[in-house]
Amino acid sequence: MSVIAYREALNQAMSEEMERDERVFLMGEEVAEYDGAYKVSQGMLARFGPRRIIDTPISEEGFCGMGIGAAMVGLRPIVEFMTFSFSLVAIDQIVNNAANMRYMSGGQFAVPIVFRGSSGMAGCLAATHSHRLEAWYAHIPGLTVVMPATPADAKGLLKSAIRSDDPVIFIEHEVLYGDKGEVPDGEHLVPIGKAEIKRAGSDVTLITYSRSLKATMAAAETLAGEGIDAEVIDIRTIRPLDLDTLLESVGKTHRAVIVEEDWPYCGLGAGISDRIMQKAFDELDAPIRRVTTKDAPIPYNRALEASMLPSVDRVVAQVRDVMYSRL
Amino acid sequence: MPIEVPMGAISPTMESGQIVEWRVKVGDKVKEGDTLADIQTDKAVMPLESFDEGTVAVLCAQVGQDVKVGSPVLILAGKGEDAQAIAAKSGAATAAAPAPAAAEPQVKHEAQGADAPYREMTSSPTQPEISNGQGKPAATASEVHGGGRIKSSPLARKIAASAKVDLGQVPPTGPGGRVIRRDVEAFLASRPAGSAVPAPSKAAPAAKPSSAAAKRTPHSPMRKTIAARMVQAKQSAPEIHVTVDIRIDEIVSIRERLNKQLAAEKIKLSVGDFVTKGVALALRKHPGVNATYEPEAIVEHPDVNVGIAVALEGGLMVPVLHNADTLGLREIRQGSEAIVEAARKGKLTSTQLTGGTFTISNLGMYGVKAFDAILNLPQVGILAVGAGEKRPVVVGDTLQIGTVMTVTLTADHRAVDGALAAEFLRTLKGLLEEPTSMLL
Amino acid sequence: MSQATTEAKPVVSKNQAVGWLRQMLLIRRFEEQSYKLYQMGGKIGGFCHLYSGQEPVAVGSIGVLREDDYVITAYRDHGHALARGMGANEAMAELLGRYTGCSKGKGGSMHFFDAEKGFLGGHAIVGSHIPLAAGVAFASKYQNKDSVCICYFGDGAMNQGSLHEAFNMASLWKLPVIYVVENNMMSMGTQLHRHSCLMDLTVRCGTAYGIPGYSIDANDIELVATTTRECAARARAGEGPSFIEMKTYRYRGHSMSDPAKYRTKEELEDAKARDPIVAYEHILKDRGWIDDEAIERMHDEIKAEVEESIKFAEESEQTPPEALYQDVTVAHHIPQE
Repeated sequence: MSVIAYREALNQAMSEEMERDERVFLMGEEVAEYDGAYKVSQGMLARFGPRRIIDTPISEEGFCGMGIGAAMVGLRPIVEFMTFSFSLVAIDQIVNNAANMRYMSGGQFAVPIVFRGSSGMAGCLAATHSHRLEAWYAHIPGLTVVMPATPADAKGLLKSAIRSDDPVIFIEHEVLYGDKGEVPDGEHLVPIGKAEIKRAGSDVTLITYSRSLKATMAAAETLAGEGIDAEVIDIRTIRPLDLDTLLESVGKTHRAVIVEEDWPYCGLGAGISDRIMQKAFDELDAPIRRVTTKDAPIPYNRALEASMLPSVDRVVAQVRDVMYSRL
Repeated sequence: MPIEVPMGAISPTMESGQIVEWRVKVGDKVKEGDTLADIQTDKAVMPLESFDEGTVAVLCAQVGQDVKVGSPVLILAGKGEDAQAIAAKSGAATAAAPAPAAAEPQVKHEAQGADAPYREMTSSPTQPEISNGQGKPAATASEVHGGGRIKSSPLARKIAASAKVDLGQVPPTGPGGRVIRRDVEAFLASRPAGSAVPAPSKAAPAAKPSSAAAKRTPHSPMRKTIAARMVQAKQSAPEIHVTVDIRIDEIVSIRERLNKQLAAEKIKLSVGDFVTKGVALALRKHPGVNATYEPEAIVEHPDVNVGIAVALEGGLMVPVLHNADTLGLREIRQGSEAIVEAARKGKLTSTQLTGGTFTISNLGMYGVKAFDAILNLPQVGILAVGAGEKRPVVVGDTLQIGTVMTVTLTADHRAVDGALAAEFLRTLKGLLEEPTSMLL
Repeated sequence: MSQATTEAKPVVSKNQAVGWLRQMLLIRRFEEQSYKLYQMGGKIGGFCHLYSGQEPVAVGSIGVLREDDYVITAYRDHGHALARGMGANEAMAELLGRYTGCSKGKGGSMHFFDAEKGFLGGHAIVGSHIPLAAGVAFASKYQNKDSVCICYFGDGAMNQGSLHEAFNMASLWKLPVIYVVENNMMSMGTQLHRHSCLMDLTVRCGTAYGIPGYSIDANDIELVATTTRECAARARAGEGPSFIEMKTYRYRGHSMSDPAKYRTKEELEDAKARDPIVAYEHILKDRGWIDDEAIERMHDEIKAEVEESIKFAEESEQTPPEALYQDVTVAHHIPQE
């Protein structure tokens, strides 16, 4: 085990996979000479040269499409979005081409590509630069969507994503880049499609991912002080969802609260909640509750922005509610 | 198209209705508004009216049979349709009507119901249908839940179903009256051992057959309602009982005088009428007792509507004397007589059955000295009235003979604290011992 | 006159030329029969865009490419697929939504694919495939191969940002890609002068990006061939992309539902009088490479071939229900239901 930062874990994952597989290359805005807008690709140009670490013009639609084309004929591109907010100008490529190609071609073409980059509300970036698009992409059959919350998962999942034969939307979180954590030494792969129980508990299932894991874990500690034993699950892969792990937990606790940085309406938690209810309705002793970002564009003002985020208090309040512990 | 006439929700809380008497027979022509049958609901015997015109083709149930709300009661042939053909066509499905297959009528209705879109639409989809393992729906939902559908968490339903518990009997503690897991579990824990399983355990030695069979009376809708409500009250409301003795010598003498005056009108006041009047005025003074307890709030009511418990054959009902505090003794007597009469004949209107804010239960006529009544939820108070009787009374330092009545207030301690209960009784005692003060 | 050019300097062998004529006739027949099936039997659904009139573009350009080159096009893709060697059976089966179709009945008219032939698809979002072509070319270069990618689109696609982003990068990185605009002068129903700020497309799409631009009469199939060959040579030599405006004309409406009111009957008649297939028949006859009898026979054979493709398609299995979840991903697809 060594303790490294989330961004370094991502860098290791890409570098290791590029060493391993000549077909892998990294392409995006400022990934090479600048060493990455968030320094995720620091040192990679020096190590792999300009043939494989490629600075692109500010043309997200163009270079995403190029990545897809290259993937169709045998390469394994990693396309970096400086932030996923910018993927909105490339969404046609991701949704129509990357996700559909295999299906429309009757299985003749695969698109082994990773679209990765930061996302989320990082602080004072206001409405255009704070998007959380996981639900948008998770909506699309044909895409795999991954969101690591820890350095270990960042490394292990990115390596799995690069090795995947399908297009993977790999969404990092801007505020997590500096987070440090233990990452297993040597080859470390985390399977796609597997959730992780971050804290075992018996009273209520807290379902979360990415940055919201932090508030959720803190809430679980607060609840422990009240005698409520919360189980915290980091789903890690958004699509396909590890429903089995969720159902097993809900079967035990009979209640669930979903904590997400997404907006409430048609947000990711709505989809997760639906799937749990379809399979485990009779296990539920309370409605599934969600703690989400509030339903407004993201404001610049620091305090307003902070007020929108899922907080420990909001999580605790929802848990008390589903525990009927106010009555 | 033949017209299927379903069991209507004639009472707002009924789940099913029992056919008391058919008012039509096959071949009869009916028009809108005609009474088709008399139906025993959970509250009263009510007429089931036709909303259509047609000829009676099939009677889908027999007298005495329970028909779920939304399930067909009879089928009418529409204009120009052959009633006999319709009867023949629906023959198999509606065999319950002519064939007295009394043992399993409900099963047949279930089968019919599956083809009846009306039932699909109107029967509450979230209504738990708990089987008692004999192919019949178990006891219907009850008044525990204040009428209407039973709200429950899916898990609570599942546990209840596997334990064969009628959710309607489980007092809810979840928000908005939702039965949740802990409620069912508490209910199961509180049940006497063995009662959970309807079928006798195989391990139990077979009881020796008795020479005379025990009399077994299936629950009437009213009995189910009473059972559920009493259980709910005992399980969900922490009760407090406060008792006071009231001298009623003054009432006795005033009553004698007034009854002489009223003899010509054939009106005879009872001591109970004075109690009703006194209770109504005391409630006006203590609105905290003229209240209902709801999950989120205590609701004090602007009107004083006193329910009078009336014993009936096979049960009891609590018709309501509305605005009792504004009524004179004559009106109280006449009103009480009217509702008691209606109750005994099963002719109570829904107005007479609803809106009560407090209840009086009087067993004085049976010579009972004192007793505790069980709350009529969501009301927070019920007064148990014993018999007026001559007792030794200490007045000053002397012993006298006085007519004394013992009343016991049962109050829901979630809403009414001991002091309020005591104050209410002090007010009542004052009013009844000095009845002229009721004139103020 | 293009005809004079061709006569003066034949650029293909006799066999190849006869083969091109045959391919053009096949495409024409295939498209006209598709039209009939669409209108008469309702056997073809959705959007169906026919290539009639534009045959020399696909046949002449693809005809000079190598097997290891790549072809990618827009939604009017039947002609390119057939020119690339896709069988009429697979193509027709796809139109009829059969499991034997080139995309297993899940792509339809606008989404033909043939991986074996390096045919990377019909693509139905206008301009969306233009960056893909750059990516395919990028892969060639990355892997030190000299395969080229040819990419077709209509004049309407020139107004999409994706084209301009891709052109910039293709030129910047000298990617081996040939971009062909099939200028039929009609972006669906908006004629060129109403949607393009410049009438000279080589300026808009070539000069602007430092990409060599050609503008040719695509009714001359051999001119199409020589131009493409020149561009392919540049690409293989590492000199980067080319842009060819091929002026052509489509006989049918934009799609099946298009009454084509934006042009006159005379305009269409005039175009048909200059039909490129008839013209090529004359050229080959003049060269003595084919005679009327052979042409007649060729027509009959093609008629039979297309007839056979319809029979094949109609007798093929409908794409089965279980195919719904097939080929969503390479990994086992778990429906998120």
